Amino acid sequence: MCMRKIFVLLSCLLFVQCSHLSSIKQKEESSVFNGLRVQRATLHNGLKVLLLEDHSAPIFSFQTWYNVGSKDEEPGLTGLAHLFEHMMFKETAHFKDGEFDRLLEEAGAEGQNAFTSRDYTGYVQSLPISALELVMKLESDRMVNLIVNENALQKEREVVHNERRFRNENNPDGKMYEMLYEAAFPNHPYHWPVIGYSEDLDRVNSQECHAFYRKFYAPNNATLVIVGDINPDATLQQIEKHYVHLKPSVIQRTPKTTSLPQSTKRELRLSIKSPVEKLMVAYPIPSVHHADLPALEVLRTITTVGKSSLLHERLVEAGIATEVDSENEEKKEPSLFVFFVNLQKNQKAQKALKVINSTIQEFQKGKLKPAWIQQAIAMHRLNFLDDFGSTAKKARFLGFYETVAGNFERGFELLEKMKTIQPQDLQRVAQRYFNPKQSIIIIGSPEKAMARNAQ
Amino acid sequence: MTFFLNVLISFFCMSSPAAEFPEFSFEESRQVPIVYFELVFDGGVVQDPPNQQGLTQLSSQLFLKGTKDKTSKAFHSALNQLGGHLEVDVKSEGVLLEGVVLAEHVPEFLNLIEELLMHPRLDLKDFQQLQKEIQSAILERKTNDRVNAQIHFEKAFFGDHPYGHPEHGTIKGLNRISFADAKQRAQAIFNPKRMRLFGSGDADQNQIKMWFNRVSTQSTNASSIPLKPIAAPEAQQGKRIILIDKPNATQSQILLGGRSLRPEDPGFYPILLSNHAFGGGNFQSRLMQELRVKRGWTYGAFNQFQNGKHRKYFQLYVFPKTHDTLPSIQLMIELLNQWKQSGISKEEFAFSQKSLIKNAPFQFDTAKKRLQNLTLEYLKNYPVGFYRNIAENMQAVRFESVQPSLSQYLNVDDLTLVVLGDAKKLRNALKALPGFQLISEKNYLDE
Repeated sequence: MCMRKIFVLLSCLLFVQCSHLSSIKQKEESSVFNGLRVQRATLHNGLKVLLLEDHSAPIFSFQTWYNVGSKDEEPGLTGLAHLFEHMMFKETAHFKDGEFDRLLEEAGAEGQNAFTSRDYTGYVQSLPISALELVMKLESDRMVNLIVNENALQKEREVVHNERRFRNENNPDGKMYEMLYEAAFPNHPYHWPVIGYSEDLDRVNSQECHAFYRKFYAPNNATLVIVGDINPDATLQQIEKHYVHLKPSVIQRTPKTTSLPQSTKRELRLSIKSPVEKLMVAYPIPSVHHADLPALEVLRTITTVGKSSLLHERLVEAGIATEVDSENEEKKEPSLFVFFVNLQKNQKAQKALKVINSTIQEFQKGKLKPAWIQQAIAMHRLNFLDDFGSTAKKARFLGFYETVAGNFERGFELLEKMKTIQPQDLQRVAQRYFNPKQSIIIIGSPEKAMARNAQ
Repeated sequence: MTFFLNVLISFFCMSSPAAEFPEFSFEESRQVPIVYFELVFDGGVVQDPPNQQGLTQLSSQLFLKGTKDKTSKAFHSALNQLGGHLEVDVKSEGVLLEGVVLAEHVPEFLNLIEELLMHPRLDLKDFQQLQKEIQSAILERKTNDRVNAQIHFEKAFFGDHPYGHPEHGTIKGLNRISFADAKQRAQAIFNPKRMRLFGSGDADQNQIKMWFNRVSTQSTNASSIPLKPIAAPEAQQGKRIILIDKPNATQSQILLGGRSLRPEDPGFYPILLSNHAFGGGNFQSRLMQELRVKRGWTYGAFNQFQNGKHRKYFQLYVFPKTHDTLPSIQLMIELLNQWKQSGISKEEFAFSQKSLIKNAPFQFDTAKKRLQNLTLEYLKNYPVGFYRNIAENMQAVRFESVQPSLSQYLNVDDLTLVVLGDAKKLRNALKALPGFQLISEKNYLDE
């Protein structure tokens, strides 16, 4: 009898151990930088986990990245992904409305936030290490147990309308950016703004929200990123405890066109409430996976980053612009490289455009100095290290590349590949992507009354 | 009596804590191989002559335009090649040269900064270009409603006091600045003998200190311009409205503020703690709950206390659609009065105290943040370690002290309300706001 009890007990322990082992489908460790090691695990329900130890302070950053964004919306229901992001802070089957925020704030949360883009939606916070169990309990709960309440939806819809007024309607840069994407992606879900159109926001109801939630908010569509004062093995056990029972979703995405953005030149004017002109010039570029991304990023740095950049000298110091910037938009699908220019008083966007075009032509003709490349690489290294001083930014870096590129290693790979860029690489990408005949130009012109005032 | 008390407190603020600040502070941190520097120079925007607002900004930007041997592009290129960069940040009461560099290039980086301090370029052509650039930047900033409203708020709140000077200056003020003015001011501001160095990162503190000791004792051609002592601002009397018209705006910026408190003021910590419950930016705060969560009237709702070396203001900020502007203002005023009269509940107190204590480590969890804290403490004349000691000070607050502190020390009788929005739709209702007087209306493009 005694032996039988022992046998049963041992069998149970073995079963528990096997269960414990079998919930993790895959586990590996990558050495990334400066002795830091990222542990990656995937649970059987598809949940991806990235863990990075950082013992510089007794805190951690916890981020949940969902592989869903505005590109997963349908015309007529734009803004749903972002509106739903707001709803994720409401009641669940286990926690009342407002409790999610209250519990985390009481635990000392810092930087509690969420964001939606065209490709992803992220939920982030940093906390003292004592709150690790709490945040897992809350995040795993809202992943699958959210209650979409029509009354709460109505209130959040109003909040989002106000956000749209703040970022787009009353903001010239926001209006121009919205127009840029509409022009660049006529037949693609990148066409509409992440925040959606007002009339679509009014159209979304709780059933549609709920359907969206059920489809896209599931462990097999998410990556957990935890960076901080953690013990990876113990943390993984806690994750299993909270997430292993969550069921995956069947996600069928409507096939979207994967062609490059539109490829004929377009120049559009927008009347804006500004006393000076503004300019956006965009060129189609490939996705984050493409081998040309490192060269594009080096080109971006040389042309617009810092007071020694080419366009700072040729536009700002030349008295044409007050500011010039650019963005190399890393996305899952082909996207845009954008120059942004704020003109000085009485200066015209066309003048800035000529300077940008002539600078690009120099690149296309190979008039490049190797020293520019070395400088750009040094600047990138500085920016990367500056970011890596923070647990939150480390987590964001890992989460972004894991979600958009499919693996976080891509982020480090881009940095490494930049070091190998040669002048001929820059010439090649300049020729291939920066064709003025394929550019999209948005010029923001002051409303007439404003132009008179500024004289 | 109040006036003399204010003078005494002002004198105390000017003479005491700043003298305790070290001239040099460097924290070694090997976490990442980079180094941060803040070279701090006294002065700032408050030193601008009233008819030359923008002088500090223009002079500081001019100073950064290279050295005798290097144009601006060459100078900044030399920094960038080291994996570093240098920016100037003009504050209300100080000017900062902010540098960051890869650890392996610290000595060369410091050499370049020394070259700049000793032999700045200060070129006429650069001056002329900058004058226009900054004027255009002032125009461009008017497209940002939040920034624009804030500039108008500070001007209205402080009146003629230098705290009301905008950081970039004014177009008229910049027009009155000559090259000689800017050159002289630049040399006076960035006099190495007046420099403090705060830094952190992966470098040897002793080597940085040796550099500082050597450079800060060197003379330049700078003629000394004594700093004007800045008295504490006098509170504007009454409840005043300034309306900034942006025709057809679909959203309003609402800023409502009164006189702030400083750490040495009685009631400061109880009020600071209770502000977390009132409008500290978290979703549990009353402002967020009432204006955003329950009504959806605004994307954000906050109240923050701002100080320089003297008291500045507390400021409620909300941005509803035009239709909800008046109800939002009425609710803000109601909540503000309730807070002063009734304080916060025991539950709110317990929640806020716990949150602030638990959150405190995030105020100083990286070497970069600790460096920034020290700079802020210096610029505001706060006690050294103010940010590090937040938890301890919050712990010491007793619930029983909150309401009396609010009642006695929070002034809600003298308030400034700035509304930037569609005046056609707002004017009449604002004129009728009980207890308030609409004292001026401007166009959002006006200075």
